[in-house]
Amino acid sequence: MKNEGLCKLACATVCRVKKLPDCPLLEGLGIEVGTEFCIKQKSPWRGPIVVETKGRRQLAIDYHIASQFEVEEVNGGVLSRK
Amino acid sequence: MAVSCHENKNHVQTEGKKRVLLMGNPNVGKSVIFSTLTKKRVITANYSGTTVTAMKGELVQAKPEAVLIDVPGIYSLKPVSKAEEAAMTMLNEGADVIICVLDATNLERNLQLALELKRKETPVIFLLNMMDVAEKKGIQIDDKKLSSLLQAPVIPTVAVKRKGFNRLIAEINKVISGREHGKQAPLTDAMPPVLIGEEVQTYIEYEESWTDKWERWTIQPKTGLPIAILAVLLALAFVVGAGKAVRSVFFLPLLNNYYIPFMERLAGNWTTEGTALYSVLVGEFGVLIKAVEWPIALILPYVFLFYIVLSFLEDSGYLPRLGILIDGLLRRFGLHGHSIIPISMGYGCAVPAIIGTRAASSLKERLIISALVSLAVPCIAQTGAFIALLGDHSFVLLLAVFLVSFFVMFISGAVLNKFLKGTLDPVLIEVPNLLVPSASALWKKVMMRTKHFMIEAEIPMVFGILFAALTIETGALTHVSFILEPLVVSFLGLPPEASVALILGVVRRELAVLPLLGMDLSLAQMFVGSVVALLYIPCMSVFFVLIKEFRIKWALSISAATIILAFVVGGMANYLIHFFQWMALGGGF
Ligand SMILES: Nc1nc2c(ncn2[C@@H]2O[C@H](COP(=O)(O)OP(=O)(O)OP(=O)(O)O)[C@@H](O)[C@H]2O)c(=O)[nH]1
Ligand SMILES: [Mg+2]
Repeated sequence: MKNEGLCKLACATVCRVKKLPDCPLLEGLGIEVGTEFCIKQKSPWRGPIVVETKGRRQLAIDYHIASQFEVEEVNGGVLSRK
Repeated sequence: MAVSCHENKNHVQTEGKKRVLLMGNPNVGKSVIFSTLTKKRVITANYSGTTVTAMKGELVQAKPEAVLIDVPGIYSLKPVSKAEEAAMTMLNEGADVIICVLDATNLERNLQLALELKRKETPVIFLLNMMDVAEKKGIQIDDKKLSSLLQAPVIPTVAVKRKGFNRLIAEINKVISGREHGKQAPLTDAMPPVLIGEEVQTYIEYEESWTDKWERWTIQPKTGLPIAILAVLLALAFVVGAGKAVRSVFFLPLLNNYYIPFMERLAGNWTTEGTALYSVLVGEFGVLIKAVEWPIALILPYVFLFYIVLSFLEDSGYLPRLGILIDGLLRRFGLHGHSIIPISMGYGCAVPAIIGTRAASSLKERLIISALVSLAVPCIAQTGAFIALLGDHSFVLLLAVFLVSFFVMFISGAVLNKFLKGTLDPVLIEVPNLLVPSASALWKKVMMRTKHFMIEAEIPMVFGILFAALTIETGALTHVSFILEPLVVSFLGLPPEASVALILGVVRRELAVLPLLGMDLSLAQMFVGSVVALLYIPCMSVFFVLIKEFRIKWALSISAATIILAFVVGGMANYLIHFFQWMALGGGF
């Protein structure tokens, strides 16, 4: 995977984090290297990207931070529901 | 809320009593638990950052006596905002036991902090809260297994229904009475949160429920934006419409048919009509009449209805979703998506809104929000006054005042963003579950806020009205307002009495509008007067909060800026209206 962050990925893509942007708060929110999540929604006007982690709960990540993620796509997995 | 209940008590004294800390991630239900266990009401809402300072209360059923402390929510032990710093101070002062509240719908993320707390010396009791919501979302948790993995008690609870509280109290008493002290095994090599989560949770496949559908609709742009517009219109229609109805069906007839005649007769017994005393008591600014008419008949219905709407929005968890949706747009105006929360609160009262900014992580953001709320966001009391003044004549003018408010807010936001040092924080928000607010919680919150308005508004109102009555009736006005008069009369095009409104506006925001009611103004004058009142200096309480939260330098600059802007924009409005009138009369040709 190329490093293009989360911003270019389509909604409903499931991915795994390979490299985190430099933002200490992310860890407290449970996003670490190896965390898998599903892209749920992209807010307009370069707004935050909403992702859903395994706990069925969603997290809004700033566009700027989201663009610095390094992720790889994962097929299926625990996250795809319905 | 009352400034007094938000006092920054950095050192909570416990007077030899046991200290019990209530900790956890933001928005997991700590304050609900605190209110229940201490019988002390604190504000709760369905978004993170509701509690911004530690609150202390007697733990009612504790033996020996103990003090429970509601600590602002934190994500980790590294504080990033003022609220989180307050939380760390509490933790560092030590405790006899920590109650760590976990959100059952979000276990992995909550375990992060849980493990950090468990590694401290203090015994920990874990609560697995929101079990009802977890169940609805098809999440099952094995609390026994979790308890053995965490080496500490884990109690499943539903805070809003008080489920699990007996066991909680028993566990607390066990620890603070020393029966169980030191029995908790230290956690040496804990599994990472994700693995613990996998061990104890099972997800059940289930049909998408209505709540799930709404959760999706409110956050996805194509449905979310129309919903947002609809929500704002509905809220407006409800507050304005129902407020007017209550006023005209109930309060005004009561006032005009019974109260005023009664008071006039009463005053007639003491003195005769025409004397100064008579006027001061029941005249144009008669204190016996206006001190009841203004706060109760004109403003109270709106205050009450607005707080119903605000509390509903807060408890449902809709506001943060809207914030996420329009963050990209707000950012261009120097605002963070999450600032939609303090700004909505500001439409009620600026004081809690400004205190609420403690949850923001940068000074720049706190300053921008506080400045905008002080400048361009009318509090509900002032809005009520606008409706009383303009609503009966022209709904378009009322709308125009709000448009001016938005316009000024966005422009000043963009300007402040440009000139204040620092950058805006990135958004990183947990999206709260949408919850159906409980009626009793909603009612208590609305009553608490309405009562607070009555206490906060009535005394300054009486003094303000007395001042107005005395200055106008006795002719002292000319001596008091000689500085303001040229500005008011020639620049703003208002009658000289209007300067009373400006003087009173320093005390409370609605008092900058209400005196205009009895002045026979033209529509243009009403509009100009409203615009000036809107932007004009925030009230006294806001000024003091600004001093307390920031430095006096900022409080003074914000207030000075609001006064200058009020006159500039008001004057511009006056000249523009005259210009258009002149054009319309064909004066240009
Ligand atoms: N359905 C349900 N709702 C709950 C439960 N516990 C709390 N809530 C709701 O969750 C929301 C958050 O509760 P608060 O007590 O304000 O949360 P807090 O932990 O104090 O949050 P901060 O002050 O931001 O750290 C409120 O709207 C509560 O009504 C529960 O067990 N079940
Ligand atoms: Mg709280």
